[in-house]
Amino acid sequence: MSHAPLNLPLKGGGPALGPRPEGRPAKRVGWGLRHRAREQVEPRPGTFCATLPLSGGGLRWGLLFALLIPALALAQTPYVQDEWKYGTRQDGTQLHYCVDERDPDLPVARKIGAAIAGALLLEGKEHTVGEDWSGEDIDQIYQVLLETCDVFLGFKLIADVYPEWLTITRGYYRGSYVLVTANADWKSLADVPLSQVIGGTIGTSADIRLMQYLESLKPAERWTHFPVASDETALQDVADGKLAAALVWGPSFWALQKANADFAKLRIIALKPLPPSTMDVGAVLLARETFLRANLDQAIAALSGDGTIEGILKGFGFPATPVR
Amino acid sequence: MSRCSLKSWLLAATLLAGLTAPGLAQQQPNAEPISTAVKDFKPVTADMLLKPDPADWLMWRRTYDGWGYSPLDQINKGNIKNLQVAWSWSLTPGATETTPLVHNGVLYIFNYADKVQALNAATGDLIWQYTRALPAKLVAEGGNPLAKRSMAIYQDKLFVATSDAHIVALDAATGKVAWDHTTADWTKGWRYTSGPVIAHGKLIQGMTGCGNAEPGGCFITGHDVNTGEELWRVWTIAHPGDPNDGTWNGIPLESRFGSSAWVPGSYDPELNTVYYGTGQPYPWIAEMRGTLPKKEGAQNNALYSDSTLAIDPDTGKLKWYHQYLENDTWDLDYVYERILVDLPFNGETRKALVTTGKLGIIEAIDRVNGQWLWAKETVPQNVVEKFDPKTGEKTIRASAVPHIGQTTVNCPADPGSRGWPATAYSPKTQLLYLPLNEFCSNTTPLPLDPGQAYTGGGRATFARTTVPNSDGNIGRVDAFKLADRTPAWTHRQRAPETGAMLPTGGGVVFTGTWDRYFRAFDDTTGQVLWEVRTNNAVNGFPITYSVNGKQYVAVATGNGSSQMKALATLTPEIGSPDGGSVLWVFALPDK
Repeated sequence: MSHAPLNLPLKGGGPALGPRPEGRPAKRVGWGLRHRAREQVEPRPGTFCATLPLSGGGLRWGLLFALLIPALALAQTPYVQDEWKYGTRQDGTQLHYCVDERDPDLPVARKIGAAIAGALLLEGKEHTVGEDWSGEDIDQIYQVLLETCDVFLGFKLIADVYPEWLTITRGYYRGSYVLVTANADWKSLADVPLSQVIGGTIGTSADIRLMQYLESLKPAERWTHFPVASDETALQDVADGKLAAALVWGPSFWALQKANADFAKLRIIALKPLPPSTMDVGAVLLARETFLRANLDQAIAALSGDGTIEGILKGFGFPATPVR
Repeated sequence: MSRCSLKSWLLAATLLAGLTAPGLAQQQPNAEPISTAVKDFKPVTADMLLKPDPADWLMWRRTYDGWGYSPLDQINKGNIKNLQVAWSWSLTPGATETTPLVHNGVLYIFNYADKVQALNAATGDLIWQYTRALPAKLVAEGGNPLAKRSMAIYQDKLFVATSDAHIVALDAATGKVAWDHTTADWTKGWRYTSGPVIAHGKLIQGMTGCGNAEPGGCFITGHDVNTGEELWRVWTIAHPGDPNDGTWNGIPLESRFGSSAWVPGSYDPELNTVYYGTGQPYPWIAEMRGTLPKKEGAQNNALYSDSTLAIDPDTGKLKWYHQYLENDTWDLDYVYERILVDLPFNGETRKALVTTGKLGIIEAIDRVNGQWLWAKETVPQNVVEKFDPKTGEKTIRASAVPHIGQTTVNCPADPGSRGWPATAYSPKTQLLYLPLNEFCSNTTPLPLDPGQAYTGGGRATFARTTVPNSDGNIGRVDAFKLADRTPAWTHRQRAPETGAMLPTGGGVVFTGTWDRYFRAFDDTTGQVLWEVRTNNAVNGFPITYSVNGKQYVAVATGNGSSQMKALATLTPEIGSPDGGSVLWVFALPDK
């Protein structure tokens, strides 16, 4: 439909919100800039702008500020009922970070969030959101960032998909899409007979690349391909024999295989002849929080460089690598 | 305590409760109405629905044929300059797309987030109020899913489709819940954004939000009006066993999504047939959902998306269907109102069904059998290259089909050259009135990468832009003569059209715009006869009614509609307030 707002799935949509914590101290930097953005809201034709370039740790703050001004002046924020009621967090000693309880990397995200707060010499305040979430609307993220947290972990770095009021940090880990099968003999996609049906989680970067690859082949040389609703559905279809193999997000397979005995028999085979399909994962925050953004990037770079993130990933046996 | 003083105390307590209850009503599950009851409520009979009193507005488009026309003529071309505010009523802030109903001097209004009120239609005084205790998570997420375009009234009940996918019957006199039926699980994404239709004594309701939380598409259900019991269900996507199961390019039911029925249908009592429209398949990009490229030997038109479904209201039997747009890959719904009107065609009179999809193409089919009759374009569009003059089959312009890895220009953009604000037909002028907008989209398919269940409709950026060589005007009202298929007049303006059309027996046509104007046109010339600047964008369905011989015109305003916000990106210099939903009621001054 649709009548519905554009759905920006990103990480499975925005979290459901709980009541605002009582008396919560807060840290909110860039307040002056925030007001400027609100007063100069000027929507432009088109819904989204490109994701801001990753700054790494080296960009000077002043340069970043100058680069961001035009974009922020144009940023049309979502409609939030009674937005005025969301005050400004004034306490500069804490970092409120959100994690989504539905994310497969939840335990990893919690550790990384705490590590980032520590690297910034701030007290980390974790907020778990996502319970009973029903929709998939990027606008919800705007509200949760107003109401609950400074930064929201677990978003994939995909070009051109984030609205202009949102920005994403540099990635803190790099995950892969994996091809999963129940067949014990196949070593790669190339071994799967063309008579078999393969699947992929609908609309993912990896599934799109798979479809592009299939379209490049002659019809007689293509596998039959079904888009599937979710990673879990795709894995269930493989376990049930409906699909010979399915392309899913590696961290999802990691989490779901632990949670579902049906998936114990499933294993990863190589994507060949497809190239590897990787994706960096970072955190989102309001685009106007330029100072915080720069500091988060520096903290993530430092944690990647000193082995902290690698240690977290290895500690969980998590299928990802730090982004160097 | 004497009997008399006890009664006085009870009365005082009741009144106090009435005064304080609004706050309580928002906290308590299915809170009781806060005040009084409708005096001498007269049940709405089947005959009243068939031939409604001109004073009333008993259903979404007033009559079963979906015309949205009122014969009232007290307010007319000669005196409309004197039209003034009779009363107004603040509504719950939020997405506001509502249609008031009026029966016997009582106006019923749905507020954002499922508050229903009965008001004295002449004075605006509150009679009762019902506030549904929605799940807190749903309220927190907010947005369009908490708006409803319509309700229905029949016998002694007011029927409301709720944001948490229930159908609720309220006692129309008191606001008390008569029954509450759960149709679907809102946590899976299902929701209602419009209300039901009462047809042949059955309640008919369309479902939306049918992403892959529960694959298999949307459905239209028939219910017992006395209990809410579901009597039948028509799936809007062909399931295994359906003769059109094979129209999905070989993908299984588990991978078929969408085809929402998010706008109420029309009803032909003579044919005892309900006509519902359906939306597009999900995700919007056909390559992404697997219906492109077309597999050898397969069909990929994705039935029953973008179609008219003709349904027997008693049994739920699908009598026939007509698909307007095969394998939609642009989000170009054909879900909107079905106007039932008998029209001349090739020397005979045909029982026609006229609808206009997001493409802005007016299309007529025979409502007896679904046979295609004719089509006429209105706004600039580049998706349909030509029509087969006999079958109506559309030839799609290949360059307008979005492909992964490319950016494609398609007109109109995804919110459509017309959205949910309804067209209307006047038997007085034999003209169809259309609220239209001219714009295009640079469409780029993008990955979802959700990591979670895909529950939404999209995945593409639709960078809205003006049509080539635009003069800057986005909004447009067209009047079109259905009998001979000729344009009558066009009014164009910078501000997007955001309101539905209301033609009346007084020779005027009401509608509204993003820049807060509520406007009346001369129904034959398009001349602006009257306009008023309201508090916010006019994006409800205007109605008219009369009480004690005095005619009123009512329309809701408010920001928050997603369609409106999408249009607004084209006119950034026109701002509207974030909040402030209001029901405005106008009338001529008393002599």
